[in-house]
Amino acid sequence: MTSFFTDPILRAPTLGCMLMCLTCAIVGVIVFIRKESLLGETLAHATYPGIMAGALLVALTSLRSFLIWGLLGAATTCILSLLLLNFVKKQLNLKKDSALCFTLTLFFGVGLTFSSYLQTFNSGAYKQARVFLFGQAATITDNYIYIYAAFTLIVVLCVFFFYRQIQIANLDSIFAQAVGVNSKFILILCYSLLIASIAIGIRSIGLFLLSGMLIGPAIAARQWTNRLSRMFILAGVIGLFCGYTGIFISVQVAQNSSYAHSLATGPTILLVSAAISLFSLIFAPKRGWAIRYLRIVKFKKKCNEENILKSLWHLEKKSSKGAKPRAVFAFQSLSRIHFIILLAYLDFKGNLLKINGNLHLSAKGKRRAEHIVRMHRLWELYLVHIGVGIDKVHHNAEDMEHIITPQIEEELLKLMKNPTKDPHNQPIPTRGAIC
Amino acid sequence: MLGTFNPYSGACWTEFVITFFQRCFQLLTGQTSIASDELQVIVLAMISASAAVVGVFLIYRKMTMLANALSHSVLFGIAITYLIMRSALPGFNLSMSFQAMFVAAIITGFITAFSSELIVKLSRLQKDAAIGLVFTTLFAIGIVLISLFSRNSHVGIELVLGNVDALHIQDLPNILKMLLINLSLVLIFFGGLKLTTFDPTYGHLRGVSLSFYNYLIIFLLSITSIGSFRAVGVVLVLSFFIVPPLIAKMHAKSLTSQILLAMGIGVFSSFLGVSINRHIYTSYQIALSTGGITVITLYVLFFVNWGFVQFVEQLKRWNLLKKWQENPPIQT
Repeated sequence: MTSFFTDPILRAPTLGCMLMCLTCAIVGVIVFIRKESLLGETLAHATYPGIMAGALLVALTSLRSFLIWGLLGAATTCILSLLLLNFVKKQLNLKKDSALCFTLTLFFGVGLTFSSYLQTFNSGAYKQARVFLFGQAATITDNYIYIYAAFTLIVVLCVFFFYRQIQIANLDSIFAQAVGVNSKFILILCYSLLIASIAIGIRSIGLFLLSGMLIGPAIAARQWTNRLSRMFILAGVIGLFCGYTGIFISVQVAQNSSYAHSLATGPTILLVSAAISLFSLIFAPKRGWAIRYLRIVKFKKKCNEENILKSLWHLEKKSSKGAKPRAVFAFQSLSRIHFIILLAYLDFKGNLLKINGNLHLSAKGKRRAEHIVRMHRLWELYLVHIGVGIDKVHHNAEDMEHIITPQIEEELLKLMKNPTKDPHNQPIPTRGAIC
Repeated sequence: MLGTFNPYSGACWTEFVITFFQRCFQLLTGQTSIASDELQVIVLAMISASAAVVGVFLIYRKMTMLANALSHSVLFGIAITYLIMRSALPGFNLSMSFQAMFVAAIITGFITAFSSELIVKLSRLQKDAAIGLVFTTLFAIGIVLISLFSRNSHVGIELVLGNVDALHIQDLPNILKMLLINLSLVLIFFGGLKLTTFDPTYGHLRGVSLSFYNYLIIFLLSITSIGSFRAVGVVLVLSFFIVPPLIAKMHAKSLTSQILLAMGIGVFSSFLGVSINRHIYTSYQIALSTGGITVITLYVLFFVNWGFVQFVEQLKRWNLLKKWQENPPIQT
């Protein structure tokens, strides 16, 4: 595990990937809260002509460093595409998505033409430039790490120092105006950070997949927290983890597989991030689907149980002999099997007694049923109190009786001065020992 | 059969046009076989026509970024289809099979659209973010699958970028079928598509199934992307989806005329793209990608048209001003 940081060959790719994923993830949060997730896609594709132009420049002239010129070209066309996007939206009156797609294809088409020229002109340079399409971590060397580290530091520091302004300007622009935050400056800052992260990110992840790396950690982080500061930190941590795990898996596959197969690092990193996002979407507390679904099921079960107890209570009121299960079933909107299972469950919990095939409430069940009836009648009384017609209050109370908490009950009692009769002149059951 | 001798080698632009129309007549009467430049023009024209039909609806339905998403996840669909078909039919060749194309289109389109809609519905995520997450993931899986079974991760690049210059005569019937499917489906469901695109609420009240038309468009979109994917690459298809309809929108007065105009512009620009590419090769000995040149041609057409429309409007404004100066409007 630690050999990835000490091994002279693996060290640079590992650190490079982690740094790039960190910047992408942090900037991705800004893009996510601006609700412009697909902007990254357009900008990443717009780097293609820039990279090719940089490679062409290096091939044509005596300039040596392809990395610097490729990155510069990428950043330049990124900025150009942003300007074009603005122009297209304002002057040509295109919708947001059409404008994004329009810009993307224009830049990619130009890039395609450049690359075909480069391919015939100097195929070595073309092969070098092709690395940026799907990313190649293995060829990152120590020299590059310093550049990436500097970029990452700039991004992190910018987000750290301008945190408040970024938060206000991106989440509530009107408030930002009122407070005196320079929205335009922050906007330019955010876009510069985005361009910087794209320019350094394409080296390891590739321009096709970069937008996924911008979106993935932000989505995952959003599931776990509601605070922006925590979201930044969480997304950064997820980014670092994705970078490390991605390169770990691809190196392991390359070492252990018997074929000449290799798992490219870019797609691997992206798949790790997608897996984390998917896991967060499903299992995150509060916002995850699984947890939410479980909560819904639990609440429905509670409601159904309470409805059964309540109708049994009403039936017992009429005759002390208890009630047939059939009579109770007639009041429920449940399937027969569901009803039988619930009855068995209530019996197991000690809420019911069965005497000669007739159902009775046990002491515990009776307390629960009385609690429900009490809530129902209190709520009806409250509705009448606020001016709802007497004949309309029952249905709403049917829903509310399951929801009212002891605090709300206190408030209701205070408001209505400890009532004893409901609007239909029925007695309100007294408070049980345990609710 | 492809002719061994290419009649267009060494032709400049005017020569290309003249030769093309002369040979068109000969081809129709069956005197010669088709040359590679002509094949390119025909295939690009058919693809642009079928893309324009769908593209008009995509722009009005704000689904162009879904088209972009699909053009990426196509790779996943093709990889999966290849794996399934290869295990079912030994010696199966992906590029020539129309059924495979059909299956891949259905798989890709529906997985992308359905899963992003599911994520939006279940976790209340922004739609953009959900689409972005889904298609990049599918694209990554596609690349991994392709690099696993082809042992060459660069196959993916050729698949995505496409190569018009490597077109084969056997691509022709597939693309013709795709064009026919697109045209006939749009023709059959034209009324419903129009209704659900421009006034979905009224359509819903009329009892028209919105999701049926939504998935119809997604199906047309994915079959067009897949069909043209191998031939010309996704970028060119995307530009065919969006640019001709936008140019047509500047001039057209109705939806039908916009669709027809967009098809015409697509066909014209594919002819122009191929001929310009040949001209560049003849004059400067630079072999450029036909796809790239066609995209640039489309955008040049777009901006020329836009400038023209702006100019005409400016003229109108001047005329109005002149009229006002001659007989000033009544002052109140």
